Amino acid sequence: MENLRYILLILILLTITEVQGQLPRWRLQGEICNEKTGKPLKHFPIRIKEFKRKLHSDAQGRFLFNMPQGNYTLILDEEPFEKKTEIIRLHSDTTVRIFLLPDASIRLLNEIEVLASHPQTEEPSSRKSLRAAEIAAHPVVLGENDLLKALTLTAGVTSSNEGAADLQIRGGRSGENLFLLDGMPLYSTQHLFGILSVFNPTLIKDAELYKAGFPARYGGRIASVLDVRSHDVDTTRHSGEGGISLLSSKAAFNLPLLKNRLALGLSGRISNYSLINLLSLSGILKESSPMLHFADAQAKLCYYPNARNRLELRFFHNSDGIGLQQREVGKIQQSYLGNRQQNIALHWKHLGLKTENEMQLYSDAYRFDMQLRENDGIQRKKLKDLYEIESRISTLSFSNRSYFRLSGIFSAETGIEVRRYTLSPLNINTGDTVLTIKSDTENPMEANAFGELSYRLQPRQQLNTGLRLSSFGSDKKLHWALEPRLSYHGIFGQDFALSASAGRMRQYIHRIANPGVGVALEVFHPADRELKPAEAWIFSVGGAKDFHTKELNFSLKTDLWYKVMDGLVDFREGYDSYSIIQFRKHGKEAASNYLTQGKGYAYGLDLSVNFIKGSIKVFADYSLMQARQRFEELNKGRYFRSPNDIRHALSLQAELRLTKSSYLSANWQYRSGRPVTLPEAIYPSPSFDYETGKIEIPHPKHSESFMTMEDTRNNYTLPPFHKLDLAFNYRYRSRKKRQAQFSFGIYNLYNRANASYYFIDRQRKNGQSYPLLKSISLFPILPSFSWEIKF
Amino acid sequence: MLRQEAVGLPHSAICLFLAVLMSFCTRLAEEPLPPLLRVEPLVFSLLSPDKVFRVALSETYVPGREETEVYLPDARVFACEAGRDWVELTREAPDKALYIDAAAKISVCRGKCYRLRIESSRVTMEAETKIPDEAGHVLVLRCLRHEGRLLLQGKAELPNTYKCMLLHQGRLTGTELFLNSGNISVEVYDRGVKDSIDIQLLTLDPVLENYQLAVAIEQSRKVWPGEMSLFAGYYNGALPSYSNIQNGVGIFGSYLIETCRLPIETELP
Repeated sequence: MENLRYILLILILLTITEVQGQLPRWRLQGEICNEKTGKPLKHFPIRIKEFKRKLHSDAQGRFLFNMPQGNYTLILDEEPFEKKTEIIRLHSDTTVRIFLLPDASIRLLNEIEVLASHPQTEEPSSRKSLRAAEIAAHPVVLGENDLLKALTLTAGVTSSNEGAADLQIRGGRSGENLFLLDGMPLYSTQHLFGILSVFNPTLIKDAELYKAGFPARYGGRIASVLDVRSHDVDTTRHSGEGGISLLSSKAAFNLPLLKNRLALGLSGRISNYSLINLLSLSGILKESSPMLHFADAQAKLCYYPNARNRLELRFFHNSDGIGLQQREVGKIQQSYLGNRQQNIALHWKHLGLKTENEMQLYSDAYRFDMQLRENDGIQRKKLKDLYEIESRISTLSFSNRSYFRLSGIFSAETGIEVRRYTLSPLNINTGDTVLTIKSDTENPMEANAFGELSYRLQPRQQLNTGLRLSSFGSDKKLHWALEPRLSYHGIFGQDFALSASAGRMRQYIHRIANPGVGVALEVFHPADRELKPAEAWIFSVGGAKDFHTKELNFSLKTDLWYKVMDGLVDFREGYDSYSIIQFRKHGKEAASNYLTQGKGYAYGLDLSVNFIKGSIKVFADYSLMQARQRFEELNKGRYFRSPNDIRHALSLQAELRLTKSSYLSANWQYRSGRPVTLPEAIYPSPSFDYETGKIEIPHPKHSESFMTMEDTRNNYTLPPFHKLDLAFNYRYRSRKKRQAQFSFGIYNLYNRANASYYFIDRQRKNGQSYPLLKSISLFPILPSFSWEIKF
Repeated sequence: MLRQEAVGLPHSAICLFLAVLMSFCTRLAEEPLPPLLRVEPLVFSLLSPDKVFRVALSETYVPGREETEVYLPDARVFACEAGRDWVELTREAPDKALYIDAAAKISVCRGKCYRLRIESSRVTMEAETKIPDEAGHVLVLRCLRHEGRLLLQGKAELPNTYKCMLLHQGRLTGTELFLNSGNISVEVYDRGVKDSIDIQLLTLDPVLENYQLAVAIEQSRKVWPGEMSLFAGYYNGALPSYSNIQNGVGIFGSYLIETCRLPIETELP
């Protein structure tokens, strides 16, 4: 017993000695950011002098080290940033943010260089990341760089029409894409009815397009997710930029209000026509009656109470409209057609030791509006609405996401999202009692929860598993689903990558729009008792390989994909979004009376090739695909080609550096023609007299009008689409050392008439009427310019 | 023939938009008519109780093909009530492909099924229709002249399974193709109407309903001249499949009709 006491005493003493001999360990975590732009620097090398070790920040620019108590020297030295040395006194868990200043001598060329530093193996084959500089490098359309236009040059992505600012991803339709701007969904992405997108290039920091392999945090659409992030607000320095092009003028400002604490970021764009109208309103110009307007604006008020917390108030607005006012005796008749969208969000981000939490409360509203009203000619007071058609959707939402770093190889992310919709799909008011149709306002709720686990199999191999529980409905009907997600991305060696994914996506809000040019009349319908949600299972497997030599960089990326879809929505025969208003056959009836649902499948192969040698860069993107749909009530229940079944799509982009500050870029696009429905029979319109029962079919020679008959849907393929765009960009320093850029572009250089639509017209010749097929093409050869300055 | 009034979209705004957009961008080209076009025999026949059984024949139009003056000259047209003996209809004139039941051997009655058969050396076509067994009725209807416009106001009893249309002089009243409620409140296109007005309430069988929808769509395409209709709401959906003629194109449909003569009341302030 005595011996045992001695042994215990010795053991305790030994333990104390051991503890006293080992210093406590603390966590050092932080983020490395570009001081000028505020954006995190991913995979940035950090040298710890005391350990003679070089580590890297992660893909979000963050790092986390566990080290014994003491003083450490962190050395950050990598072009194009100025070298920085930070002394850290580590006596407790510590969080730091390190800002690096770009080296002034090489700052000018940063944005030109960026296309080269994007190895194909870095991201999964079904994902496409674009940074602001990459978007800026693309040839412009009417003087405007455009994110969505740039994305249509990538494999697996097309647009519904030439010049349309929408996306059709891998056989999906434009209403099946989730567009997020700083986490807030956008309902409409078009300006000027499709010529430009609402993503103002001055506000975009980067964008990620998911064509498959969706993380569980995303949901609500079945074709793709485009997550656009705007520039972070910089709390340290004032900056700004401005620009003007053929169509619009734009500006962005960064205004620190309290150094390292509070800052305001503002950006906006307005059409030059709107500016002229503003001048006319202020009396500088004579009153101008026509009005053509688009504008977007973003504001971000950012507050850092401490290094671990960030509060942001975000606001986004975009609007489009055309209008005209005509004077009559004592009255002014005003007509207007437009849409408006507004989002406001309060966002809180908290960085813990091993966690990160993001909470967001937001509200948004979208309204499509077409109206004709009379104003008093003198006082301009509204007398009455003669006609008004509107469609509205708004939401109030709360979301919370938490990220946990469980260990060096495990991390997890969970979140919830609750959203209350207010939907008023279609209201028609003729201003008197003759006709008023008001669709019932609906208030469905959406609640989602998700969990995601990331497992690092090897240093550069990652497996993500996720599960999303989505639910949507009201007291009348509740829809819910489990959406499993699985994705893998692994880099083998230095230059070979494999990726694979499988996932289920659900869409509870159907967006139905007429596919034509012109008035983008769109209606949002929720899933309810009659309409079921749309859903898709999406599978993909791909690989990438980079080949590097001293002079040449060559990389190849490919992705094979397959998707099956159900609950797709289309108009019944005899309806489109225009005719449901025009004929108003549905009245207050359910949407299922003019909509029908079916299923579809699509599969294809995407291929991307990058080639960089010296001052020449060439990028090629090719897609081979097939998409089919089947609706019981359409096309006699047979499968038919989807409207977005584009068999081959090829885009070639080339960039030639002329000098250190100027370059020439070009892109050539080729797409197989899309399917359209054309009549299989034309005949002179018969005339009936219902009173007497008399009937007559005139001879074609004497017929004033013709009737058509269509038997098979999408029975004709339009001729292929192709065009070549060129752009010349020149960067220079202004007298006050401001960075400026001048761009000159030519759209559709060889003036190709790409038919967008076919229609049957009538022609009178020698006193006789003949049916005639006509095609309409948009955008002939168009030169453009733009000028931008940064300060 | 049924006509539809111009759609009440803000005309001027759209015209402005078109002018701006088209002057900038669009090009129009004539194309060869689609190779899908085929020559098909065309058949039109609409039955209604107490009306003579009539069938009109023709052919669909294909450009560049020599135009026929007399369609299906050797055609023989037969019709009957379902379950009864076939009756051969007589050609009205050798140069006109119009066939009638001149002897009124077939009695067209509400709710009954009728069959049609056309035989020629080229093709044999068949079709069937059922006369609606319930009709829409006007309960109360007034016609008011109000601020220079003619307004119809009243009530109608609509059938459960068939669509109804309200016509005046063969034209659609109001902007609605089919009546969707029993309450009538529509404007009538005033073409020199003086003291009274004739209004017809049609009850359509599904074949004629689909055809009328197709006609309305075709006419909506003519509201705007040429390519302007593309921007101003050109119909982009599928035409309804209205043809019920086997081996041909056209309709063999039916309807019920109720006519009211209404005195025009002038509404005073």
